[in-house]
Amino acid sequence: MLTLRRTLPGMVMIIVSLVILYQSLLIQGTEQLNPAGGGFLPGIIAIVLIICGIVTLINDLKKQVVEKTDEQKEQAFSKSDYFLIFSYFIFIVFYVLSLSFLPFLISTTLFLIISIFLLKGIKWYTNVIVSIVTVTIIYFLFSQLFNIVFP
Amino acid sequence: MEFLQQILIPFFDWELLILVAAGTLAGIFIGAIPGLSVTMAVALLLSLTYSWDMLPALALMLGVYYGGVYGGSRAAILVNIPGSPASVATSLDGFPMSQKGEAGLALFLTTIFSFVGGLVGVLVLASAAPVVASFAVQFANRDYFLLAMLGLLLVGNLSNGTVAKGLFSAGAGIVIGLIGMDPIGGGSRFTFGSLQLMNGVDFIIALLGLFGMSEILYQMRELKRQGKPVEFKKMIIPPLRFILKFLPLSMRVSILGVLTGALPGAGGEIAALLSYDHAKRSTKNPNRPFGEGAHAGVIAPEAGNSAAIGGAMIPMLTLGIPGDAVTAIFIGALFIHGLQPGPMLMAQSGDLFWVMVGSSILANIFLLIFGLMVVSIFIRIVTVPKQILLPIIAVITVIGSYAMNYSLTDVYWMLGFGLIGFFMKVHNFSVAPLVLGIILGPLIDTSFRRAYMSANGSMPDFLTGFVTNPISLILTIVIAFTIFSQTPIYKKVKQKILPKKQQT
Repeated sequence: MLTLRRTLPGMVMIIVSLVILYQSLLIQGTEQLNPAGGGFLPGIIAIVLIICGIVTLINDLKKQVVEKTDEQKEQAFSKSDYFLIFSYFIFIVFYVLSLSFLPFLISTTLFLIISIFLLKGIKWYTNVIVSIVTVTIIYFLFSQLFNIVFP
Repeated sequence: MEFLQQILIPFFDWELLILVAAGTLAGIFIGAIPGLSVTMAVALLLSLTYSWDMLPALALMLGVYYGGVYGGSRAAILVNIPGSPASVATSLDGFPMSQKGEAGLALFLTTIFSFVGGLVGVLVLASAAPVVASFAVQFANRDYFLLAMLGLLLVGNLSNGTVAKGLFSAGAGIVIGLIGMDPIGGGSRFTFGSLQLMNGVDFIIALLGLFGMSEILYQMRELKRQGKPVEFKKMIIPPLRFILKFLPLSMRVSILGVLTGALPGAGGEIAALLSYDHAKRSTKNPNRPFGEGAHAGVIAPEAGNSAAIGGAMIPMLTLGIPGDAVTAIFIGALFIHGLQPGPMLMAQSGDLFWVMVGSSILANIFLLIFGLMVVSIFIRIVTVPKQILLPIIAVITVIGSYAMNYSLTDVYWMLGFGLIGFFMKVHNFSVAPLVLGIILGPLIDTSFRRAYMSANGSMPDFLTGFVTNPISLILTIVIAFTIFSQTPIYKKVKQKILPKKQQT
C-alpha cells in the first residue's frame, strides 16, 4: 500500500507520457522521422517526459520511509480533507448544472448561502446578507461594466 | 518627442486614467487577500474585457498587475501570510517588525520603495525595450525555438518541487498547447477523434482552472487556519533622512529585480528572494539582525518585486516570450486583440508600447497614493473569513470562464483543469510551467518545424545552424549550461571550485 502511494506520481507521469508518445506516432503516420512533421517534436517531448517520470519514480522509491514529523503530518492531506474538498467540488458542479435551468441570480444566491452554511463558522444572518450583497454587486458590475450576458 | 506625447495619453484620457486607478486599487485589495492571486485576477479580467477596446483593457490589467504585486506584502506584514508568492521574502522581516509594534513603519516603507522599484522597472523597460526589439528583428525561427525552450527550462528549474516534475509540467503544457489543428500540416493532433478539440484548448479556460479553481480546492482545508492580525493603529511617517538612507540599496535591488524579471521564466518571486539575499549581504549595520525585523529586509524585496514587473514586460513586448505567468496572459490579450507580440510589435504599433509605459507610470503613482491612504482597511481585508471568500471566488471563476464564449462547456473544462491543478499541487508539481507550456507550445512547434524546413530539410544543415549563427550559438550554450547545471557532475565541479574560493 505504501509503495503504491509513493510510486503513484511517477506511474501517472509515465502513463501520461506513453499516451502522448502513442498519439504522436499516430500523427506522424508513414514518415516517422521527419522533423518537419506534426508528430516529431511531441514525440521527442514524450520521450523526455518518460525519462522525467522514471527519475521521479526512482527518487520516490529511494526515499527512506522515515517517521513523519508533526509539521509534515499537518502538511499532508487527511481523508476528511479530501472528503470535504471533493464534496465541495461536486457541489460546484451541481451549481454549474443548475445555471442551465435556473436564472443566474437565484442559483448563485442559493449556491453562496448553502456553501457558506456548509463550510460552517459564519452566523446565518451574516451569511444571508453577504450572499445577497455579493450577488447584487457581481450582477451589476459584470453586466454593466463588462457587458456580460448571464445564463 | 512623439513618444513623450504617447506616454502622456493615459494621464489626460479620462477613461484610461480612471481604469488604471480602479485597476490599481482593485489590485491592491486582491493582492492583500491571501488566496486571491494576481495571475488569477488578470486571467479573469482578460476573459471579462473580451469585448472591450485594447487600450482600456490593457490599462485595467496593468493597474491590477502593479497593485496586486504590491498588495501581497500587506498580508505578509500584518498577518504573516504572504498574499502572493512575490511577497514571501517580505514576510521574513515584515511580520517581525509588526510584532515589535512597527507595522505602521513597515507598511510605509514598503509602499515608498514599491513605488521606487516600480518606477525603476518602467524606466528600464522604456529604455531597453526599443534596443532589444531592434536587435530581435534578426532572430530567426531557430532562435525563437531556442528562446522559448530556455524560458521553459528556467521555469522548470526554478519552480518549487523537483526538476523532473517541473520539466514534466512544462512538457505536458507544450502538448496541451498543441491540441487541435496542426497549423502547418493541417491534420488533427491529440484530439482523440473529438471535433470539439479541433479548435484546441482555450488557454484562458486552462488558466482559470489551474490558478483559480485549483486554488479554491487547495485552500478548502485551511478554513480553520485564520491569521491573527497584529495591533496596529496608524501609519508612521519617518523623517526624510531615514528614507534617503535606503535609496542606494533600493536602487541596487531594483536593477537586480529588473534583470531577474527580464529572464524568461523568472518572475517577482525570485526577484524578491534575490533582493532580500543581496540586502542581507550588503547591509553592514542593520538596525536589527535580518529575520527579526530589519528595515532593509522589507525594503529590498518590495523594491525588487515591483521592479521585476517592468523587467518581465521586456521579453514579452519585444520577443513575444513571457517573463512570468502574468505576462503570459498579457501575450494572450495582445493575440485576442489581433496583435502579434514580438519584434514587429514595436515597429508596427509603437504607440501601444508607449501608452503601456505611460499606464505603468500612472499605476505606480496611484499605488503610492492608495497605498498611503487606505491603510486602515487592510487590517479588515486580510482577515476576511475563508468560508465567505472561497465560495465568492468560485462564483467569479465560473462567470469568468463562461464569459469567454458564453458556453457552459467551457465552465466544465475549467472545472476539469481545476481538478488537475489541485492534484498537481498536492503532489508538489508546480503549475506555472504547465501554463507557460500551453502558451509557448504552438510557438515552439511552428518555429522548430519552420527552422527545419528553411534548412532545406537537411539534418546536418539544420544542426550546424545551432552553432554557426552567433545568436543561436549563445542561446544554445545557455541552454546547455542550464541543463548541465542540474546534473550531479556540475555539483561535484562546483564543490571542487567553491571551497577554494572561500579559503582565499
